Amino acid sequence: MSHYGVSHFMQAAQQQRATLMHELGVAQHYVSVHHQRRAELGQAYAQVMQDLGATLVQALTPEWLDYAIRITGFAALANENPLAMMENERRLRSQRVRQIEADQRFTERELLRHPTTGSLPRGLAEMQENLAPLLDVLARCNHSRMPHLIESGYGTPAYATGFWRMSYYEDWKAGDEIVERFPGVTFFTQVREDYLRAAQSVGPLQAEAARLRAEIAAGEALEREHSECRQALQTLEARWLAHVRQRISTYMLECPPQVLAPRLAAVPQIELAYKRALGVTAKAHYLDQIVARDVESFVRDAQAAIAKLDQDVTKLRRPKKAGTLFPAEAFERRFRDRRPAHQKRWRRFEKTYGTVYGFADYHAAPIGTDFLWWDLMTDGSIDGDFIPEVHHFHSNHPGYQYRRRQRDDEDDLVASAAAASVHDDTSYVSHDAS
Amino acid sequence: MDERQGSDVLTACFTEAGLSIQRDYRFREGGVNVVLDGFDPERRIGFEFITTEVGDRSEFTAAVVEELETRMCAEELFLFLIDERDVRGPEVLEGAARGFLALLRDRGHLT
Repeated sequence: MSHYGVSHFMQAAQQQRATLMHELGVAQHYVSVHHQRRAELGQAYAQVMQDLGATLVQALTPEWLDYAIRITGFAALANENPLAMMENERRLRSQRVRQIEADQRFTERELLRHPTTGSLPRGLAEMQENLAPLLDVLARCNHSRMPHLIESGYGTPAYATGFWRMSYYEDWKAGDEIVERFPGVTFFTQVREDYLRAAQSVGPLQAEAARLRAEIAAGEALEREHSECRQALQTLEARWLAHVRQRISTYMLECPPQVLAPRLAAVPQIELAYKRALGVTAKAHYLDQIVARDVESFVRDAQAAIAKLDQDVTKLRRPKKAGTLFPAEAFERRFRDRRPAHQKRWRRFEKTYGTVYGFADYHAAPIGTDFLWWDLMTDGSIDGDFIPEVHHFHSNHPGYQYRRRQRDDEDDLVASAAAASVHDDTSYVSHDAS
Repeated sequence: MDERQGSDVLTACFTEAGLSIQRDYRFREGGVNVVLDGFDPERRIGFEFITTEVGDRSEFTAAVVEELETRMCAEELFLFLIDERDVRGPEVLEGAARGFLALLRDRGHLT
């Protein structure tokens, strides 16, 4: 066939679209698994950082601080003097607690602020009770002409507007409307007196209510501060211990491994925790890069291809395009079966991702040397140059060659189990492919 | 409402009350020399719809209005004075005009 028609195009487009949608589902599954794995690694990282700090500083004593500084070389910690800072906080907090406990607003808190019997809430309730009828009068008098009626003396002998003026009738109407809002009242004069009394009294009463509220709020703030200080004193040592541990583990992560390696060689438990922290960080980064290359880029390309197909199909549905012919070579190239390529991509992804995720031999990291975590994790069997850091490492070490490890039986067992677990979770298309 | 609409409403009310309203009546008495929008010279009752549009504010100055009010207090004549700013619609204007005419009737100036 030298050319294809529109009906061929429609059929091929529909088929390709279905394939791409299926592959997008596969990609989504991988993204979801990665999301879960990433969360697990985050937890593992937090745990290993905690272990690292806890192993180095088992108690907040000068002896343990000296030990941690000696092992890690983190001399700045001695200058920070966390023990003195902790004692300073203890002194300031205790002082503040004593101040608050001597404050009458605190000592007489029940008497002053008990919700039902306290003098301040009762005073406030009384004030609100007095305010309510006054505010009610003002609300009923809320009329656009009310200020003018008061000012012109409407309803009093002082009212001087002539009956020949239009405003006389507007005042009359407004006055009647306002009087209607007060059942039992006949004349505006009565409303006027109530209004003036309410307007004069509301301000001072509201000011007094605001003062009482402010006094209650200040007392409550003092109680809160007292409670916070007491709580801070109770957790003082635990907080400072956690802070110091965090400072040390963060320092270690920021320190070049080659510098720390000789210091840690004599303390295998700490060295292993340190290697795990470094390794988990590298692993998370590598997994992100693998997903970006094999999954996220596919999602972008597939979505663009589907959009293009939809656009072309819409265009070819127009009657004037019914006779369009497509050269066979271009048509067949465009609609060739891409499923084998997709399968290949997913197999590569599963292998790479599973290998890196399944890595557990952190103890094998030669941190004293200029080594590459990628090679250790993949045992040099997978090209990692698509990761900028790996590429950069190779560029800076032209003669570098990774020497594959002699794994012991235990290593093999651990790694195989982990890899199998990853494969079970990530595998999706392999069933289709088989 | 503009001057013409207001005057139409007022003329209708005043005529219905039995007055013979002359539109744009030249009123020249004492120191006052103005054109009233509507006036019955025999009963000496009329109206003036004061608007900015036709320049009423330069004609009906504070002094002129004061002079007219003095004469109304002396019951020499009765002019319903409306400032356009006080009028929210024809119904309001009509209601006020009927109120004015009712008061005149109560006071015996209109039968």
